[in-house]
Amino acid sequence: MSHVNIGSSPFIAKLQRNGFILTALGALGMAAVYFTGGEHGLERLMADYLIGFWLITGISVTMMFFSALQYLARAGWSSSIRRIAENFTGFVPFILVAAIPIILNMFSHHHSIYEWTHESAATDPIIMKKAAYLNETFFIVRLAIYGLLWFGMLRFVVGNSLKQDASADDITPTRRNWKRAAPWVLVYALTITFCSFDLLMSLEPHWFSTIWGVYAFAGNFVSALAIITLMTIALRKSGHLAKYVTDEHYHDLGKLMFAFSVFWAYIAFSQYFIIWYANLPEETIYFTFRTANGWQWFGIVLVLLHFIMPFALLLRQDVKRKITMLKTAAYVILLSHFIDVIWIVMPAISKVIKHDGILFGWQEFTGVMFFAGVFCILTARNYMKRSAVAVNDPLVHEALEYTS
Amino acid sequence: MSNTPVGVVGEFTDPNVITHAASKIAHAGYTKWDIHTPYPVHGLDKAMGVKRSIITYISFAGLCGGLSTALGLQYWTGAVDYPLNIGGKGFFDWQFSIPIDFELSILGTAIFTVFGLFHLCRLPTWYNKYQNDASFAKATDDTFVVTIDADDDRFSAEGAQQLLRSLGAENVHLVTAE
Repeated sequence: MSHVNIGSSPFIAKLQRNGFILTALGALGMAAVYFTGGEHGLERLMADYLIGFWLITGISVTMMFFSALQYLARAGWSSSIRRIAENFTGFVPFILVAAIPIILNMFSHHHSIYEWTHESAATDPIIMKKAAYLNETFFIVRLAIYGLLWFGMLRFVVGNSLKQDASADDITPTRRNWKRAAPWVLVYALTITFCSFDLLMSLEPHWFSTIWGVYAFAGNFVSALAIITLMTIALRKSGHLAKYVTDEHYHDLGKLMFAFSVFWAYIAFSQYFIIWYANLPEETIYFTFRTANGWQWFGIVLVLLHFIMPFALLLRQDVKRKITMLKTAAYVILLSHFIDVIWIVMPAISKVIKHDGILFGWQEFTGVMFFAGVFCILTARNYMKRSAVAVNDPLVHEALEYTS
Repeated sequence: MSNTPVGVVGEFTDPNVITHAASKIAHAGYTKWDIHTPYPVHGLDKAMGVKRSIITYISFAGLCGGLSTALGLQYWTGAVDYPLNIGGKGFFDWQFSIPIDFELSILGTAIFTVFGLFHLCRLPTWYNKYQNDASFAKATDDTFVVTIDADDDRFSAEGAQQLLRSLGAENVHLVTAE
């Protein structure tokens, strides 16, 4: 079958243009955050940068995981939409570059957003015990390891998928992915876990949660699914995937979004429940701070938007085939994932800069705008370079005729 | 009562033909008829014009039953009948009720779904009026068997047989009660 090249279509041009606009607005916004932030402008800027960085890094990496997962399961149904996920991985090679400001910020001791880099940490009895792990050198080494592993995963998993585009007869690249997808999934599991420990959990260095990695995975995976769903709908609507995507794909993506928003709720509640029940001070500090001073509204909104609304919207069988409902659910999931990351990051920052009450405003939208813009540009670039569908995947015929 | 007609039986071997035949029979207006297949055929229920099952509503009733049992049980035992202070927690806090709510909701849903399905599938059925027919037995092996019941309003032994033959059925015959 011939490649589906949609790089010159108005849709991709629009995606790229919107990406540039978002990036520019985000960059201007972040500058404004810095200059209007007064004494703690740098902390606020870095917090917003971290929010955007984590959102886009997590989702980009999870897109590779989605692809690896389809190979691991040798899934036929997804082979015609797998490339949509793979085209969202454009940010992966730039993760380490984008992490540089976060690393530099750690060395501005008075303005670092990580409390364990402060001078006071050297005499803090709890942080002192964690110093073997929480120190600047090891932090940088770990970030470099994640970045390199992710780059390797991109080259291998997505790379083999792209190599398959060259020939329909020789399926060696796909075979390679079938064989090696499992170790890459393991790499993803470990890196996303430890990266979420480093970037997010260490914002609260006195606190720990062993389920944190699963929580981070759940939020990222359901958001990645929401983005895949939105893109699938948009591309099919503009006529590019008419031959490759059916209502069955909508149905299955809807099922996955439903399942993983419930999964997120399960994990989020597990974390809260165990801490609430045990009632140990070193564990409860996280939630006592986040369920008071106005932060509790974020938690309540999260329960509604990240769990109850997707659950109610996607429960019925027939709505998973209706574009409006699917899109609504996907946008709700993305919005709630954003709120989730704010609820993780901003209370910790308000502790660092000793701010009373909610620390949330227009500022928090700048970082995510910047990174979302970069994400759009790099995605558009991928569509300009490659086929939008893995046309030569040996299982693609299954995707065209399956019933979900 | 030796020759009372029970219904007409026809055999098909091709799953694509059976799907086409199913919609034709449904369009002909028959309501009391069925297809017995050796394995589930995708899209057959749609072609037959089978309405959406009410099983989801039965399941939902099970969920409501399970959830209210869980909440009621925990509230009554914990806060009304025998209040105990455990670890300084409230007598009835939503936090600790969630796992029980969750489990009993699932239990209620599962039980209602399984037994609701039994009921909707008329299980257990010890007797089927076609069970002594040789064609009917093939439905468990490699043949798609269509049965049109004699108590259908439109049934006529000739008409039903003719319809099945015209749709490509083999070994079409009338089954009578013995």
